Amino acid sequence: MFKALKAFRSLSPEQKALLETKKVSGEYEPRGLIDLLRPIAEYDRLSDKARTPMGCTTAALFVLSLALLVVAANVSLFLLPLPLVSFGGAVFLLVSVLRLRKLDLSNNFRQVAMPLFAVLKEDMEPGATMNVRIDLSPPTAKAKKTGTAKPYKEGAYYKVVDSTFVDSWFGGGTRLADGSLLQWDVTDDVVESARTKRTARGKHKTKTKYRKLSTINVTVALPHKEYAVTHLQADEGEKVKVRESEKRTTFHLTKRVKMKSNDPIDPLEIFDIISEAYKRVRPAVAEGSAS
Amino acid sequence: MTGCECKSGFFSLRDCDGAPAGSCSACGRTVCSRHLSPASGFTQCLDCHARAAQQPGEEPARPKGAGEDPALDDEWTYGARHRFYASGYAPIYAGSHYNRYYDSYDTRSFDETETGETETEEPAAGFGDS
Repeated sequence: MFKALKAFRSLSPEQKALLETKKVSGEYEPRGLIDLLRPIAEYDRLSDKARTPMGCTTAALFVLSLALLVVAANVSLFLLPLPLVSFGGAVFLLVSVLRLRKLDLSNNFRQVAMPLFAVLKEDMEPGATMNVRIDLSPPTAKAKKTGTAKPYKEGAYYKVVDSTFVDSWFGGGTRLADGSLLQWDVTDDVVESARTKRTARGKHKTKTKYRKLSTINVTVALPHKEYAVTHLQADEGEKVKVRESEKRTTFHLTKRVKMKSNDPIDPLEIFDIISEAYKRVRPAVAEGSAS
Repeated sequence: MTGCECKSGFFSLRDCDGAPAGSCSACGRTVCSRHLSPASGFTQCLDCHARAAQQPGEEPARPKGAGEDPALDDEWTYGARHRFYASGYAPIYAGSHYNRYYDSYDTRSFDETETGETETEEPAAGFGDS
């Protein structure tokens, strides 16, 4: 907990502002962007790790306060400071947990976006910038909710309520060192399913399950000067559109990734779909060099 | 070639040509300061260190949940590049200093294709002439 609070205190005013607004938008050098976001990612990681034990400790301290109050009332009023200290600690922890929860970020940005920046940095000229738009708020934030279906029954669950969320959390574009133009966009459609059943002991239990469909759209425009197209047809399961212009061949590629959880997709999914454009070309023969 | 022999890039490879700062103890290539691996004590290039470090089961591909996040430095990027190429992606090289170091990734290069054809044809021509 103290590590998370320390990490929060060490953030610069700019980083704290990003944490509050939960939005990153603008032109950035990839290295600079990673350096800007890394402390925020570290804070978010520590905060994720700390919240559950903090919540448990808060509940335990409230129970302890009550027990100590009963003991103090029955034994001696001189023991009264003990439940008060315990209660104070519980309130402090509760406030801290709520604050950390309010500042919670989507894991997408540190497990998908940042690895992509690190990879693109390698394919960009030093000092080149990329246009980036990231929504750091969690995928099931209130603002992303698009609807709630009517409750229905399913097997042992007497009440299932599905809520849908659309999270268009990541987009951007840049010019790569080889002269190619790259644009990407990632949108997650999330279904949150709250399922309630009655156990054998008569208790009502609700658990939440998630299903997610991530749609990755990538546009790669490869210059004729550097690359010659070898094949254009889409392989099985791929969606590819190709447009030829005077200077470039533009590939529009789409990939859909289904998951039975709300975890971030593997960043390899984005690397894969970008690489599909490069798999369809070979180095162009330089003018005058062909024999 | 007098500069760094490592190749920059991820989806396509290009020449680095950085000022030499040493040579890799594993592959012997001339390497610039950026391509020397700090984790190896600056004795190996980032490529060799990535290949050596990623024996099966040694390094997870990606952290989950609240686990440790990768540093996302050059060590991580070259490790990710090695994994990506090893998983089947053949990178394109369009520079002018082809290096056989990357042959294990089935690197696609116009120069290499031309050189390869010439290499197989020249000895035969030589025998015929003599």
